[in-house]
Amino acid sequence: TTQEYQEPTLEEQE
Amino acid sequence: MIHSDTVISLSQDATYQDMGDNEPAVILQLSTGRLFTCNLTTRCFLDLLADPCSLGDAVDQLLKTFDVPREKLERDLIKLAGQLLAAGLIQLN
Repeated sequence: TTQEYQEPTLEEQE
Repeated sequence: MIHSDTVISLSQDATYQDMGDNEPAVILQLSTGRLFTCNLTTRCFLDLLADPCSLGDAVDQLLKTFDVPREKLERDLIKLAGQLLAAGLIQLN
C-alpha cells in the first residue's frame, strides 16, 4: 500500500 | 553537492510539528524565528532525519510510502535537501 506522491515542498512564511 | 551517500540529519536549530497523521507540517528555526510550511512528502523526509541518515537510505524508506519511480524521488529529495541545508534546517553529518 503506497500513497499518491507529491513533489516535496518547502515554503518560508512571513 | 548532495548525493545519495551524503549523511544528513535535522538541525538542532530546527523543530517541526505535524498537523496530524498523514498531514503536512510547520517547521520553526529556533534561532531566527523563521517559519516554514511543507507538504506530507517533506514531512516524511524530515521524520527520517531525527537520526543521521544517508539520502539513499531515505529514498529507500520513502519508496515504501509513496508510489513514485526511484529516480524521480531521489532527484526530488536531492533538490529538497539542498533547500533545507541552505535554510539551515538540516545539517551534514
